[in-house]
Amino acid sequence: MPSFENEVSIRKPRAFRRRPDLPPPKVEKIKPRSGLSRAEVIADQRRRILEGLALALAYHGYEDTKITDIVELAGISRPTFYEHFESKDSCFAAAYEDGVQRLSEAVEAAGGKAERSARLSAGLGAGLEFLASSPPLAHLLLVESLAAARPARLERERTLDRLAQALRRSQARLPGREAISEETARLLAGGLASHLSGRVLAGEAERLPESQGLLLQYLLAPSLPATSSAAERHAAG
Amino acid sequence: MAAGGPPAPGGEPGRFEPDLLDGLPAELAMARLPAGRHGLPREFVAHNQRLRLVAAMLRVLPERGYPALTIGHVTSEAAVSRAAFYQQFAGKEECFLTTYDLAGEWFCERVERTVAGEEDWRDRIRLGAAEALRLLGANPLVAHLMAVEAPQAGRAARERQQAMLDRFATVLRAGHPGRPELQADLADLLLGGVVALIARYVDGDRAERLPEATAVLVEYLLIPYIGGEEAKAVLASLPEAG
Repeated sequence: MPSFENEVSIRKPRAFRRRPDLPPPKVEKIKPRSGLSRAEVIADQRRRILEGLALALAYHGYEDTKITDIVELAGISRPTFYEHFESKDSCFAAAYEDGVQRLSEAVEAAGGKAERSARLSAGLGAGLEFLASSPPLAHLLLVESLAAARPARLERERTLDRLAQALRRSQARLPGREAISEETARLLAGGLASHLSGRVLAGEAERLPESQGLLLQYLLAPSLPATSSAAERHAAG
Repeated sequence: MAAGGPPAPGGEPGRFEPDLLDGLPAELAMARLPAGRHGLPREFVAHNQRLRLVAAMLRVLPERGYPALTIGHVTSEAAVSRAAFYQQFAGKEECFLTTYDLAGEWFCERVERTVAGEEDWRDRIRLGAAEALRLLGANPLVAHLMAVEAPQAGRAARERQQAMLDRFATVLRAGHPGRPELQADLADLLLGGVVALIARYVDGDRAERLPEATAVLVEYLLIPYIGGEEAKAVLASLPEAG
């Protein structure tokens, strides 16, 4: 009979020392599969490493995460890890890029399906749902990117630049709204990211979708037409 | 290096130099104390070492980053022994938090003093934001500490940062009463954007240019509360940012 105890737990002494407030992370052990091509096996290993990294980071934090933690969680050998990545830093960079890519795809897919005027709201909602569905990934993208080595911080800045551009585009499409400046969009992107990081740090990643109304109000405020009165703005908001 | 001391209003923004605090004569405060038996009072020596450690923490942070920073980095920068470090602080975190508290209080106190006499809420925001960016532009190490290190230096540091932001959020929220539809948390979001702006300047090695962002920042802070047109009128009265 196949066993369903597909879980590996991390070595306990380390785990308990680092984060007594959290249960030790567990990752689904990948079932041994036959008939996979070499390329599929490699892609699967890579996915497991990135997932293992996200879990290890959420638990230990960047500085204290060791390659040992990642390979244990991913259920692979240390040499296999080094076939994919030369270091924790390069593994983080790949996981960050991969996560941002998936997040953007979720946001764009939802925005593309929505009416012109509802794209911002739909994209925001989808982004929040995506992050809420994987708290370790949300932690990696929003929290650890602050604590990682400097190249990772700069990558985070570039991601926020792209988010700012997307915010400008989405607001330009809204009827009756003024274009916002690049700098304002960048401030908005930073405020949005800070809010999300704060919620994730507080252990509230799953509840991120609850912030949608507040975030929309925040993101839309600067593009309100200059002439509108408070009453009109209330109706518009 | 400009000396510390009270900032002249509208003049050069003050500099945060913890080893020059308390009016210690600069040559005594900064200098390594004479080796051996120097006859200086024990209390003076301890205080001097404490402030030198704080100043050293501030200086080595940008190079190392808090997570990778060791006590050895701080003590060698301060030219203070490890034993003396442990007489002052239980560890790296306590030293960091002390640095943050001193710098944060120095910063908040100056911004609050700048706006203290202003009746009009819009002027308080306008002048407060301008002064904040001036101070940080003149003190890139403080900008780095507050915007880059505090978020990655553990739970206690983040709580300290949050407490500081709450002080400013209270001022922002005072613009609320006429706008019942605005959510109270909006002020926190706005301030999160400000921290991110500062971090971006610091990460781009251009913290000294922060004052150039004054107009954008003031507009960003005011618009949700008073709308674009009024915000532009307030901006028109903004003095040229250095």
